[in-house]
Amino acid sequence: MFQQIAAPLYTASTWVIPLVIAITFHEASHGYVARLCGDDTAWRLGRVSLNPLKHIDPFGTVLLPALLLVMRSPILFGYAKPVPVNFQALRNPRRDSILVAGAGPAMNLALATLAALAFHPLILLPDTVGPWVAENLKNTLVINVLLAILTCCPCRRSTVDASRWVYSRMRWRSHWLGWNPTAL
Amino acid sequence: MILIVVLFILPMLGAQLGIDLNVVWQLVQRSTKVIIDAILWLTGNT
Repeated sequence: MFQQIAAPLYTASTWVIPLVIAITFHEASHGYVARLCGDDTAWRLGRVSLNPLKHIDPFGTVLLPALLLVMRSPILFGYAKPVPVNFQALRNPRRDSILVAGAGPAMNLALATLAALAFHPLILLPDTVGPWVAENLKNTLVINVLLAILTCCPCRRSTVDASRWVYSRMRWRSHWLGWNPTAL
Repeated sequence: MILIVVLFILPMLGAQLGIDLNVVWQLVQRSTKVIIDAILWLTGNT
């Protein structure tokens, strides 16, 4: 009985912890950079916080992925609460909006790098916790890189972080290349 | 509309035909692998 519960719990803990950390740091970094650049909207709303509950959307982060998982859907999809940013309040809206948008993916790449660096001292851990920590670090690396890439995917009228910036860049380039990025 | 076709309809159609038509996932998977390999190389894990 205990074995039947322990195995799924072990697997869940190695995925849920890295996912929650990735989402929390990603969203908090948008708000933090926005505050540094002059917009304190997210700060005033308490969104520049490492408390995961501030960033998790009950439907988009928990219910929707859980439903898709239970239904054995070929597509897994989810989202967190977007951090509110008033781009007009930024000191240099053109430059700072890029910094705010890029903060999330940059944070995810930094977390992925930290996870990769943390592989080195793993050998010092006892056998009882070593494999669990290793699995967590491996998933941290994968989830953070995946999140950084997905939030940079260019979608028209998208509010998905860095995709705004990527899309505007692609539109500019498409003028020269004769290529239409909306096809993505 | 294009997004719905690319993200949802193509993979389902591919599953029916027995072909992997999940183009977006293939692109994401490849770029993820490249970045992970780069991070592992930079941090001395290869």
